[in-house]
Amino acid sequence: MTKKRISQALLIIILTLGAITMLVPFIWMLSTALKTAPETVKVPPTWIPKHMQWQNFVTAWHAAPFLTYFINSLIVTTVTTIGQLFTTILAAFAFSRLNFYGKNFLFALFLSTMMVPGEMLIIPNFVTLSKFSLINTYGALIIPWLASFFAVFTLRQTFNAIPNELYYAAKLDGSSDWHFLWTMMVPLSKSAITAIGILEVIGSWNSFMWPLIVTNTAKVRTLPVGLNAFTSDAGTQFQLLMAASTFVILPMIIVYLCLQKYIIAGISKSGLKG
Amino acid sequence: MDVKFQNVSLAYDNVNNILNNISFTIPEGQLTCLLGPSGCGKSTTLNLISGLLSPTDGQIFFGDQNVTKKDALARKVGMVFQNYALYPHMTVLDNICFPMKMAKVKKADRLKRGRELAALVHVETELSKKPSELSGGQQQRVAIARALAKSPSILLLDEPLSNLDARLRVEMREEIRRIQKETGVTTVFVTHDQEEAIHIADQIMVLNEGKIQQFTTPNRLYDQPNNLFVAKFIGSPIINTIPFANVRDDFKTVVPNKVFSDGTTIAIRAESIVPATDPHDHLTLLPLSGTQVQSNRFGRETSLSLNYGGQTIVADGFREQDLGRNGKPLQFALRPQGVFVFNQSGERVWPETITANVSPIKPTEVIHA
Ligand SMILES: Nc1ncnc2c1ncn2[C@@H]1O[C@H](COP(=O)(O)OP(=O)(O)OP(=O)(O)O)[C@@H](O)[C@H]1O
Ligand SMILES: [Mg+2]
Repeated sequence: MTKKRISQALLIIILTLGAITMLVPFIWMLSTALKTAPETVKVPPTWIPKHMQWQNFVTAWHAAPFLTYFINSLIVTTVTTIGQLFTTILAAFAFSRLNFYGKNFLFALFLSTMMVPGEMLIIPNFVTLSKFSLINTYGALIIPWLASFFAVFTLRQTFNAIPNELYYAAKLDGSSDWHFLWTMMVPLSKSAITAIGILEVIGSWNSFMWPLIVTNTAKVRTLPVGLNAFTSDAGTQFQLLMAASTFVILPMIIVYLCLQKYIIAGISKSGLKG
Repeated sequence: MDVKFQNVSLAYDNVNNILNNISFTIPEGQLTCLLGPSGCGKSTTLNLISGLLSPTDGQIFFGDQNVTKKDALARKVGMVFQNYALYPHMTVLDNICFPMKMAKVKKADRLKRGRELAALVHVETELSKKPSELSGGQQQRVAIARALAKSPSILLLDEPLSNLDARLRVEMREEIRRIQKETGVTTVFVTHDQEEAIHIADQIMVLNEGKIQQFTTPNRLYDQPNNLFVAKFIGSPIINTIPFANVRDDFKTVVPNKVFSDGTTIAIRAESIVPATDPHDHLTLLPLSGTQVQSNRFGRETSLSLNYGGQTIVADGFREQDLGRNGKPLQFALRPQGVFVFNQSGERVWPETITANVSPIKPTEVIHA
């Protein structure tokens, strides 16, 4: 009985430490956002600002066209995620269930692209997009991310775990491939698809390098690029940068809190299956 | 509808035939078993009937209609898979109604029919459960109800009982028999369990190595095996086999000269070995003699091991008081039925024909023999 108590207590301590470690950066961000410029670089650092500088948020919001950036981020993330899920589901189904000429070769070819580091694709992608005159448009921000073989590969594994008999049974019952995919495979792979979708939302929302390279006007820039406004040759205005960072990540936190139930269910369910 | 295979062959890789030029007719309205060891092509045959596979060669007919080129949906077959393949995210009622939904039956109609089918298979109290909340036997019944939902021309069951425990298996096979009788649907049932086949089937097709070994009623299969494979496959305990050369002198007066010289194996069912004092007709004029190796009693059964013709054979037709002492000679006799001689290639050479009074034939058997 006491042994159980001790292990219970130990567990709570470890989890608490983990939670604090995860929270510290967020608290630091918030605290810095509320400091004056000199206080941000003071040694030793202070956790609670002497005077709360709430106007930092207003200053930061007006320092750059953040409303435009916000709308752009929203459009890019939504379209990329939905588009990528759509292509992923179709491709994973094809690789998992359909028989077509050159299937294995194609799969190996796609698999080998996963070995190419992302940085190496920046220049060729840039050149391709500029040939299509897509630089500095939403297209440049969205099109390269509409397909992800990593996602296809993950989902194909999940699809493969669904017994063949289910496919045959549905076929005998009069279900077409298309219908089977959307009424059987997709609902049965809900957790994997949710996980892939969340990864893409986060990746797309936080993406910095690519939007920075392919955009050059505020009209199509996204939030993370906007954060650049606070860094100049003369140094960084940390309090404004942190204030802006706060409202950049706020939507992600809201999304997480709303979807928490599904995310946790998704993770624990796929854990059981795996 | 009856199902006819005409010279059907199938090779998955277009090289090696898994099924080799087979022809048969499965009669309408009855329950036919496909029986054979693992890997002999039972599921393959079933998938050819369902249309999930198409033959490399040959023709398939449903009634008068050639369905060789028709796909699974057009053939309107209902199928129960070994693992049931219920749709895990749908309720029992939705599972049963799914084929009707696909066929665009009106919602009210299909729910009504779904409930009727659920009642037929006795799962009417589980309608709103998910498949994972059902027992194995219930899942299996839901699978049957779903297969019946499209009013199939033919119902196919691929080893539907192999996931159940022994007692439930017996219960469910009676249940399948009842449902088949009630609906009158032509049913093909795959199994590798000869006892299951014998209990459930109107007729049994024994398959081995892609060929039909014998296709007849369960009792005929037992009483008149065409070849050594069927004789050994059907019946428990497995039929005793002795090299004919070792014992043929004992049968000199019984078998014709040709059998005397051609026979290579004699097979004797355990229950056909009886005490020499048994009042039955005996196959041979004089009692045979062997050596008792071991005897056991299991409740109402006895099991006796005898050494005869250099082989240890098993007899279960002895009562306790007829048993001798281990290691001592024992006289025994053979009943006229349940003794067969096979030649080099395994075909039965004796008895050539078995008369009807030895194996009483049910009325249905006469029609489809
Ligand atoms: N999709 C396939 N591709 C290639 N060979 C196959 C395929 N399916 C089955 N086979 C082969 O065909 C033969 C017959 O298989 P089948 O599944 O019909 O056997 P079965 O009689 O149903 O056996 P079991 O009782 O084990 O289910 C086996 O040798 C098997 O290896
Ligand atoms: Mg099989």
